[in-house]
Amino acid sequence: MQNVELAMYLIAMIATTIVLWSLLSRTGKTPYALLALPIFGIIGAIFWFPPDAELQAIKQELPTIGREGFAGSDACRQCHVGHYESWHQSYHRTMTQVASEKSIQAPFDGRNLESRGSICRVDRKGDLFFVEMNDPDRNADEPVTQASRVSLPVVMTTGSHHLQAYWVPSVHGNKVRLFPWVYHIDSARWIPNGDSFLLPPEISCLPPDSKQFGQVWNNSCITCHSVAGDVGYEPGNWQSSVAELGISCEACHGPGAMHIANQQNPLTRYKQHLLGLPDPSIVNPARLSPHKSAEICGQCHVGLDDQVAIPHNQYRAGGDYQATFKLADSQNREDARFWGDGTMRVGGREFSGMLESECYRKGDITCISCHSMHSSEPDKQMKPEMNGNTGCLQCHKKFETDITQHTHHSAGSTGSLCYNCHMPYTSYALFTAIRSHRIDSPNVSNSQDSGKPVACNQCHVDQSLKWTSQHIENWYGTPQPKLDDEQNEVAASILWLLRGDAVQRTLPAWSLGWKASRDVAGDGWQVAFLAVELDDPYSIARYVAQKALKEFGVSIEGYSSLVSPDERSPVAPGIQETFPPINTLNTEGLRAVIDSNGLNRQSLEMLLKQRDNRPVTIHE
Amino acid sequence: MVKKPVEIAEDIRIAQRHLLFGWWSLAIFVALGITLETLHAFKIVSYMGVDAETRRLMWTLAHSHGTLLSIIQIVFGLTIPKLSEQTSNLRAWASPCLLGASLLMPLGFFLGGIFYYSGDPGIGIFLVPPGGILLLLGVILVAVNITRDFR
Repeated sequence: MQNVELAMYLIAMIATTIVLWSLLSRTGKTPYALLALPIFGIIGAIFWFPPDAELQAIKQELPTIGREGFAGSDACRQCHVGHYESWHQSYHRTMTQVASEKSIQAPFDGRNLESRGSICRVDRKGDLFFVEMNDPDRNADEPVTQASRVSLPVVMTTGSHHLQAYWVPSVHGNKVRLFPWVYHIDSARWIPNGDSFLLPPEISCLPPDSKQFGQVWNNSCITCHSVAGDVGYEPGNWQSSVAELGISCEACHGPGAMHIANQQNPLTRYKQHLLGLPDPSIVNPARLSPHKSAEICGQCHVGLDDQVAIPHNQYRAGGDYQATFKLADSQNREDARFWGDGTMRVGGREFSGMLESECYRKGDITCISCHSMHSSEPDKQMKPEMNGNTGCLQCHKKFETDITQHTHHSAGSTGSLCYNCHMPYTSYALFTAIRSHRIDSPNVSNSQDSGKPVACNQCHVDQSLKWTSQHIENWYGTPQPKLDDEQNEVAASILWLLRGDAVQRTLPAWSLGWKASRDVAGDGWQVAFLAVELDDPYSIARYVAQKALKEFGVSIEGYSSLVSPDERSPVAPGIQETFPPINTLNTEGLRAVIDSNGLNRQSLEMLLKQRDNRPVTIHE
Repeated sequence: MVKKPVEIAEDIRIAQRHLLFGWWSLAIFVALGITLETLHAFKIVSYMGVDAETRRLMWTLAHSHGTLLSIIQIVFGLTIPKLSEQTSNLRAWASPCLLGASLLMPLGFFLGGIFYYSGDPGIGIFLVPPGGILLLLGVILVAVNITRDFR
């Protein structure tokens, strides 16, 4: 119920009672005026509060909550208030929530959502949220008619940080299906599911309610977006269960029921407090070995072998990771999730990156070396003291005294931040570039082979690979590889942007708008190249370019990244004319693409013809 | 039966001890209350932070128990002269019990809030149970005294 409505209703109730009281005072039956109060109360409850039966019916649609051995986060709160509260602020908690006014961020205001011939409607009734759509359980070959329209309650949400997805009940037990539209929180708009992942246009351009997007929560998201999710599938019947929705205490600390039972006796607790003994019935990642500790995060933040059924519900924090998970083969060149050198290029799979790092293989690095679930801001969950170079200097102390000697950049500058060179933005997820968690060093030769952008050229976006390899040779003695003509002459970021695959194009579109790169490579010339990406076949690439253009104050009226180039005329030429590039820096890497007349269209066309059009699918 | 002068003098001595203790103790715990309110007012993290819930609870308990026990001391001091000579032994025992409780309970709670373990107070909390037992004994002894007198 809205507060204003409630206030007005209460005022009406009191006013009616007063009027009745004064009228009845002449008859001496004033107490009867008080009957107005319960009558108003009953009427209000009927109109404003949905009947319990409806709420109960919605709860029936959810996966069963509660599993043997698990206690739930509320039980943990009784003793660990601080830890509970810090977790409660995190996006891990809100990864999966029961649909409610508190959890839902999108406007359910009766609007129609239309795209590619499909219409959905989102609305609410009191505290209940509904969608109207084509029946997601209809047969695939059944034609869409008025009869196939259904109104379904929203029962669950996924995400609360960048995107929020909504789940509606389906047939066969407690199976829930994805609503065809998601809410993009950053841009405050509804977008079709096909435009929320990096998908080839032949898929992303399908109507949003196509079967390709009818994801079932119970056999996909359940594994990482809940605690100890059990798919519970038998033919024709889903009886999924979870210990708790969202990622809560027991995902990282293991089942807590036994711990709670063990800790009932105060003498047991104080014995452990005073002697500094751990309770063996609960897992504390900080007490585990670095690898064991990292594996806890790695139960979700990892790229798994898609061909193997996911047995997540068998893994418990601190358990046998190797026996439970089969990781994706990072050397499989056909797997679009990896760069050619085996580096994970999908965000949210940081453990895969770390596994390839020397710091992990030979050192003691673990996730909580830099991150914290309980002492951090919710966005990236970095320990406050680990921003800057402190994280790396924990082990690499020799660079503490004279960082410039190593980086050849002035101390305190962007180029002297360890992670800008050793953890560059070479992963993609959720409409943006993400830092790689494979900690390595810039290497041009490797970039040639793998296609992975070189860290140097993410800031020095105006410089060629030749320029980069010369510097790396001069500073660190790495021999220069043999480069082709374009690599010698054209800025590396422009090469990736124009002739790379979908991820290679999206990442430089992001880095061209990155403040650190604009500080180094000047402002303005990038617009003409980012404009090319506005006509990219991948809607994610278009969105990232559009967002980067805003950094230059360029916004195109009427342009939507959700509309594919096939559905409209190209916008790039117009923008390139309005913002002709000028090579004010006169850097070698830009000379080949920007001449005295502005954009060198011949070079541009030639590079575009070399574009890597292999289909790329990144579900993140 | 009329009290002997020695018994009257002893009662006065005990009563004075409790009145003196009670009023000074009350002053201390009122001051503690003001301190806690100040910590609230200025949102001092070490007291108001989420992690400090145990400390907040312990110090609040120290304040409330200390204040209440101070009042009990004063009431006990005012009650003693009203009691007959038959029960002098009992009140001689009740006096140290109540004084012990007034020391141990608030102190235990206060110390338990200085250093603590997540949801558990620090080891100072172990002063509280014996304090509680002393309080219970003291109160029972006074109640028994009064019951006998009324008979």
